[in-house]
Amino acid sequence: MNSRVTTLIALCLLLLSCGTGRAEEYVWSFDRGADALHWKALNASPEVTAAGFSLVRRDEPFWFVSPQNLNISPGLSYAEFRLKAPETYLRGYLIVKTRDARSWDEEFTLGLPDTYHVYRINIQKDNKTGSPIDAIAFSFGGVDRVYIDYVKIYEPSPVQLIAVYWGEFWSVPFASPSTVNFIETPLIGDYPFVAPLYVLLLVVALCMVALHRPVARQSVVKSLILACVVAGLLFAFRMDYGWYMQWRADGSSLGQRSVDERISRVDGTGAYDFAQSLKRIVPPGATVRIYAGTLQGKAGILEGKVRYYLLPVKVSETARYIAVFKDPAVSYDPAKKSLSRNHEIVARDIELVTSLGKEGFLYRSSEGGHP
Amino acid sequence: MTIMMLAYALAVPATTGFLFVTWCTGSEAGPGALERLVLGFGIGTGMITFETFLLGLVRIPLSSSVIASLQIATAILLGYLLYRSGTPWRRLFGPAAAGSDSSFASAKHLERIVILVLTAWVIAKVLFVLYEGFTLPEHTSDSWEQWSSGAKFFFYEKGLALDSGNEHFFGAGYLKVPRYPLNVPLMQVWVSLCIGEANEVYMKIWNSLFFICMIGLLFLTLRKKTSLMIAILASFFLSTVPLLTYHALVAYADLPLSFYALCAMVSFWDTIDALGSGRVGRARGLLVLMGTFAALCVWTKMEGLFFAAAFSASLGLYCLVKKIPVKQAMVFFAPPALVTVPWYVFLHSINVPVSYGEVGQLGTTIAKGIHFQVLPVIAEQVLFSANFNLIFLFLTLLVIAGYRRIVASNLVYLYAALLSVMAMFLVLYLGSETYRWVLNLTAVNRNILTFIPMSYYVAALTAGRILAGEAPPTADLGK
Repeated sequence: MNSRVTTLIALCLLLLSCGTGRAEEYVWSFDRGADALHWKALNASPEVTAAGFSLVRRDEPFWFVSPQNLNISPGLSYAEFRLKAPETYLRGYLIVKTRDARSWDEEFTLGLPDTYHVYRINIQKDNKTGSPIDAIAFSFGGVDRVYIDYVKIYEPSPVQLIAVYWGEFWSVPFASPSTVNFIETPLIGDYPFVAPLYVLLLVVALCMVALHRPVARQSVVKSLILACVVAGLLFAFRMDYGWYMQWRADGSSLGQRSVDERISRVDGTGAYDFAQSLKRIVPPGATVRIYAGTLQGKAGILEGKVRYYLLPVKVSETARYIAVFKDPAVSYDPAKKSLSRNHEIVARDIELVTSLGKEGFLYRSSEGGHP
Repeated sequence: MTIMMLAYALAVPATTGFLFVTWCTGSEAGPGALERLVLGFGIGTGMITFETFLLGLVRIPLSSSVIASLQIATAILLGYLLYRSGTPWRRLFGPAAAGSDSSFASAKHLERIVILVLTAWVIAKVLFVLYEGFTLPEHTSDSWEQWSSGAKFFFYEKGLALDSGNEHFFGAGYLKVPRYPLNVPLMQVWVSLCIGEANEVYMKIWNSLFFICMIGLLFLTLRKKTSLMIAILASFFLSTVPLLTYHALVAYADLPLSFYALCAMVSFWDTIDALGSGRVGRARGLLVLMGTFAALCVWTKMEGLFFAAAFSASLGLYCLVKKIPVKQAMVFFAPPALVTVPWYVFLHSINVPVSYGEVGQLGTTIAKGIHFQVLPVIAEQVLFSANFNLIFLFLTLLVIAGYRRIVASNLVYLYAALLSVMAMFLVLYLGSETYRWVLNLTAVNRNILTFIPMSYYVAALTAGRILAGEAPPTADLGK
């Protein structure tokens, strides 16, 4: 055995010994029902079936809360969990609470539907005070059921950390509302992956220059251009992998559905379904007034969506038909036949035409200029 | 039936535009049929939307037959003009005059493999964009709010709702920002009129098609000007620009603007080529083409004014340096004037204030202080984000390495146009309240996106010259 092979074997052994890392401090395996008993489900029912442990939504959103007083030391940086959901694009949240009563959340995008995915999140990243972590909780919205296999909190060894970085690098955040403004940059550790590409570019350029000795201006320039091409190819490979995953996600979530179903799914707020129902009820030529609540704290978006999806039925401030969608500020008084918004009467002498789901209502007023 | 009508909606502007480009480029050897089709698709689309706007102004109810009849009349007129000019059929559908070193057969073995792999990759990307384009409905909020809501309203209204008694005068309540040019909304109206419904998927198919046209145009034009390898590399890298890919799936106006800007740049380079070789007649046609694309930039987004100004300035500089009578270049200004004047007069007549964001406060803000805090954000976005591939680093290296060659050649005028656009955006961010859009990343990357295809084009031309090891500068001076 020559010395190179010996060195290689020694290096491999060294890496393997590094890979064990510190003992995992907290592990909950939910396929064994007992561990699930220590966690608390809010707005959801835990269920153990042959397919595994799952949380079934009862209300929106729902949480899965760890035991309290965990006292996780700041040295344990990563939470790793394996879960699957029948939906994708949606964001899940891991909420972290510290002993000094601070809390923050880390979001993650649900991967391809109906397949288990492993997620790893650095739970200490925002722990500014270094206080021990008291509890963690998962929060989900827009999904009926989530299967959870295990959760563990641990400090990865250097080799494990490389695996974590590798996993993070290839994890694909699906398109979200902000994607139109910027594409989320894959990270390697805390650095954008473009930074190592620049280093690689330089290395490749230097190697090429070395290969094309004697060094001349033209060969240096050519080497730089070729190095840029190589780095650009790697960039393209990683980013187009993201589009490949997006294609798979869209194919499984939208591909086989009708246009109506697709719009309803990408809308995600119920505004489209509400508007479609309204269009079936409101007589031809009639106009509608809309009162809608906020979406993620922003006023006007839901109303705008209903208004948009409602076309060709137009909106008018003086319409007799009044549509109320997800607006807790609106209340109907059947006795006085009035509709108030923020305690101010906005329409009198009205009647409820119909309820559309839990949060949608259509009223008709005898007032108003339009039919 | 819907798909057939959709095909009709795309074929009408493509045909008219194709004939217009053929007429502009003249009967001499010029761009091939495919390149003219790609350019013509953009122009035809703009023609249709502007015509729809004019019809709306004179209160003629919008219908696919009325709009198409005008387009068909235009196509017949262009056909007649081409016949009169003696353009042979061979030329009408013929390929481009082959550029040097552009044949696959003459490539080395390794090069062939690389070309095949990259071609397959680009085709896969195009298929992805088409699949998503035909699958995804409108979904991003700005997309439907700014561009599709007004389109849907105009479609159902069968006009621009310009009766003063109308509660929704000029789309009020639906057209979120009335000062935004109508090219994108009216593209959606045209498709909807053709297929008979405001279909949330097909309405926004334009962006996917513009994306494909852009990749195709870059390849076809660079193949003539550089080598096959550079053409395929440039098209490949443009197709992998992540932000551009995403914009091909939505209905924002940034991608159409970037397409028109690229077309204007390509026409500018052809114009310089024609002027340099003394083909004044051909140059005049190309100037019309360039001016039309500059006009369509203005007709697509308010930022389009920056592009029109940049191309005007760069053309002016070229005429000044080359001592070409400005009269010769005046034809460039006709299309932008034809589009800009009616649009802004109309906005003025209905009391819509015209300003770019809060640019009205430019002077006041500069007096308060320049927003230098945007600089590190912009630097980070162009150099370390995953939005644009490595084009900015690449372009910088090329400028450093080929500075003398660029300055001494006509490439400098392309750089002048590109840098002018960049500079105008920068001044806007530094000197106005729009700096907030940089800090919260809502607009900066989309604005940069509008000149990304131009950057790839200029970079490929520069790289082509450097790699070919052309003896500079003096040989190029005469062109």
